[in-house]
Amino acid sequence: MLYETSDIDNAIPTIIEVLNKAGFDKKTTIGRRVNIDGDDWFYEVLYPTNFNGVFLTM
Amino acid sequence: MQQSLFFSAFLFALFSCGQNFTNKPQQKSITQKNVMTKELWTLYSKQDTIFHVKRLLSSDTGLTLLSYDINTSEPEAASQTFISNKILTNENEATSIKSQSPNFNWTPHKETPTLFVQIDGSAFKDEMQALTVRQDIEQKIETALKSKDLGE
Repeated sequence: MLYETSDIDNAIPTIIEVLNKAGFDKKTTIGRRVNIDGDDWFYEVLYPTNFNGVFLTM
Repeated sequence: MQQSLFFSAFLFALFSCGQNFTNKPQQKSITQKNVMTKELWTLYSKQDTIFHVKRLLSSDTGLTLLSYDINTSEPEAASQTFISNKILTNENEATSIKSQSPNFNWTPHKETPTLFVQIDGSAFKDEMQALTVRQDIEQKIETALKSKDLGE
């Protein structure tokens, strides 16, 4: 699920609130697209903050 | 008779007040859960396919410096390694860390910020449930973001 947002600080708690109500907040990771250039990027996991692992985007 | 009616009314009023008092703390605890976190800065250092990251967050509980590495040798399966979560005593310490990291000068290409929300497959009993729930949640998140004018 991809979302474009103007304000990451407020968007993340809003997303987590929806996931929490549905009971999926502990089973979710939220990544931020980090652009290397226009067509090349990778994802940096922002939630959970102590994430350790692989973020698959295929 | 009049005395017993008055006594019943008094008991009813007392009971009603008690109900209100027991509901109030519950409502308060739900609001108290929302701790706002703000990203003050994020610094990157690039070494071949590995990005070293320092991210400073500010919240009601103070300043937290997160450090982690992201290995992008397979960009579609970036591997993130958490290093530390350090509580900083004040903003001077944060400024000092920032100035002592001169090699953390790689900056991402500027684009509209994009978030990728992923629910782990293990949260669902089968693929049909995963598909239905994901569609439902996707819609709810979009509605929530739009209602606060945060994007879509």
